[in-house]
Amino acid sequence: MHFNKKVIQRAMPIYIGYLFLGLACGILGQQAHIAPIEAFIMSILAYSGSGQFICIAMLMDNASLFSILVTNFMVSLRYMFFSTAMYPHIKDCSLPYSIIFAQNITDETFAVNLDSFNKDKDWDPQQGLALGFSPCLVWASANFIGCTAAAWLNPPTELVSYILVAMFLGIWSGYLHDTVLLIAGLLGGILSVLLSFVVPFKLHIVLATLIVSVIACWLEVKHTKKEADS
Amino acid sequence: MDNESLYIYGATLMMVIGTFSCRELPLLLLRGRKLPDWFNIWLKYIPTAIFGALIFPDIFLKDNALNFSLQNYGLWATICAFPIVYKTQSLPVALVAGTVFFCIFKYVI
Repeated sequence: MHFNKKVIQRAMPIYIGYLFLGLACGILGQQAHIAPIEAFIMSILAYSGSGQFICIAMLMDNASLFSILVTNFMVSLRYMFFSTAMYPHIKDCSLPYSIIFAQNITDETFAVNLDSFNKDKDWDPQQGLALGFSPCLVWASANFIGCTAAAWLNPPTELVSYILVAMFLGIWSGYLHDTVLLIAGLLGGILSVLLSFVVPFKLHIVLATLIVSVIACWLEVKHTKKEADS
Repeated sequence: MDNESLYIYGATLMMVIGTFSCRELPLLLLRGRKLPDWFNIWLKYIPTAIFGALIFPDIFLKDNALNFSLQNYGLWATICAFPIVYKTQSLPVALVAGTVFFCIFKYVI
């Protein structure tokens, strides 16, 4: 791992973003009875922004570990795409190094790393790992601080639970690039509410996601084929 | 270790399994081969569906029943904030708009 000034310059927007998100995540985590050290460990090991926010919401809901696992797996599937795109740049590294590198891929570190590999011929996996891992330390420390501060401040639970919903709303809006995606999201929501009446262990979230995304994918594949044929 | 900590460490372990497998499988199994086209199309629909599926029960349900009363502040705050959030597609805007509308419904109306 090679940590230098260039890494800091490129990672600065990520540090700032993770600092604020991490503080928020720590505060929300405290409401789910997560201790500061637990928030820190979770942030280092899982290192997944939206994954952790979702996990906190599910912990507040007393969801089963199985449904936490499956939901988290679904929301992490996008990392498969990132890892695949990163592979050509790290294929000459040793296996343990590639594993650690991949573990530090997030939406943001992926975007900055890919851009750096493509545009800067001096950019290497050593700096790439530093760019992936240093924001993780910011994220985990901010989580720790947020969690500690929340225990002191004792913010009103009802408001904090709603802030988590507002957070999801903000993350969701970032994916609503067209009307089809909006409809898919609304259908996922309606189905999730309906399923919650009949499905145990809080599995309605992952089931609704699975059903809506598979049907939407199937329709799009069918539609593209039809267009290609005609 | 008490039950609550066990539950949280259990959840952490689930998160590690979930994120680790998604990040490492392409390196260990695909080794440079491309993901199939349908996978990329599927991937496009997962985030929108998952966040819809997370938000709706949170705002529409109270104690496992649909709740459209004015006391369900989160529901009305979300309905008011959504057009602004959808237009700006911004996380900070969502946080501010959501919190402001929530406080208006809870403390003013």
